[in-house]
Amino acid sequence: MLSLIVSPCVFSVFRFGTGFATACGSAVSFYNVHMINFLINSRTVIYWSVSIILFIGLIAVGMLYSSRVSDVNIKGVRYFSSAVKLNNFQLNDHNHQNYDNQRLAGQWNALFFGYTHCPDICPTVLLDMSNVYNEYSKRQDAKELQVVFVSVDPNRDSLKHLKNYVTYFNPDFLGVTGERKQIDALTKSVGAMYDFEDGISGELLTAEQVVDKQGYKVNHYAAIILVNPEGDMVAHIYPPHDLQRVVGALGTIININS
Amino acid sequence: MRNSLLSMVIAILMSVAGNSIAADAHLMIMDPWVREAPPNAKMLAGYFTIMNHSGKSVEIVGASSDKFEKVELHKTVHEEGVAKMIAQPSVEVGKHATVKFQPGGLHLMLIEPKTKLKAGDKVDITLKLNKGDELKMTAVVKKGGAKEEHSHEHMHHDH
Repeated sequence: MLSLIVSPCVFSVFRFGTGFATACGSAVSFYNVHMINFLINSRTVIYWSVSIILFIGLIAVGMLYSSRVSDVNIKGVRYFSSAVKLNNFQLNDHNHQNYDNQRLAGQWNALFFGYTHCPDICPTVLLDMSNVYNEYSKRQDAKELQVVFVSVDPNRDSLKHLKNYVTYFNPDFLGVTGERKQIDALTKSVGAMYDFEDGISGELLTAEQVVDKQGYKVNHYAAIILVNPEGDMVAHIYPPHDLQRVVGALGTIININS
Repeated sequence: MRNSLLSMVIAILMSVAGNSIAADAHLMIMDPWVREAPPNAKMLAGYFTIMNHSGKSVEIVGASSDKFEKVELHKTVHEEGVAKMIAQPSVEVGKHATVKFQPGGLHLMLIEPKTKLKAGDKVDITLKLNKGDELKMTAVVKKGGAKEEHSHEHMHHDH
């Protein structure tokens, strides 16, 4: 790299030298001057050619280097160039198995937060993600990907209910929920905020207040959280989860990190 | 004979009108559908497009269906990445305007289905308008759907 920068300087010195030679040469003879000028001109051509080639080379190297960063500058994606460690959490999946940090290891994970008493946005994202998952899995460079729906409403979403709900959209998807503290350990470390709202009055409710209630809504983060096979977060993919955009984003991010 | 023929014609005309929602000739409902949900879902969503061909704006102030305990008007909005459903006390359809109820936006929140609904089933829904008028529609239960409209609608989102 250093030699690339230094070499144009060396060439400049060399050129100054040849210019000096021209001055001396003019005192010799007309013929000689022509010969020297010819030599100098051909040297100038070589100098410029080499410089231009080096310059193009430098740009190419720069572009190659920056493409690793700019490729991740995808519309609607927040990319973490250094993957974010997640808090320890201990939840359950819809097959009554432990779902903790270890379960994130070994494959890519797309996490989404919601609740099943959600008529519009959760089914929309689950349908979109089912299409994305099917489409991405067809790619030749596809890596193993687990899509996980985390219910932040364990009060109304039992594991059995969650299983029937989530697998309706895609049999490969996994429903996960658990104790409030454990849900919060996960949501806080990925930055997926949520809160509860009374269905009629619209007033905000605490997690304790909704325990014996039914008619409440849950406002929740709607981005897909992408977690790498080491269990660290690498990206948020914001809605709308249009098929081609999300499949493209997944492919790019996963390939860069593989 | 002539009378019975006339009444037959009237009956046919009325039944046609009945299918295409007759409460107000200036209001038209297009493509009403209910999204099929998991069999255990407690909430479903209904979508349609309403066109107001009259010179007066109309307000939808409520809805009901015999297939659900309750129907409410809602709108999904995104605020700083958080999806919220905002209850709509009313939805205005301006004069000569079209309003779309579609995934990720305005929707009918269909609460507590009384029976399990599958793709192909029909759901009668009544919209309540201001001044006490009613607008009836028969929505078809469909899987997923409305992808194009969905992505188009979201062109306005900016994250």
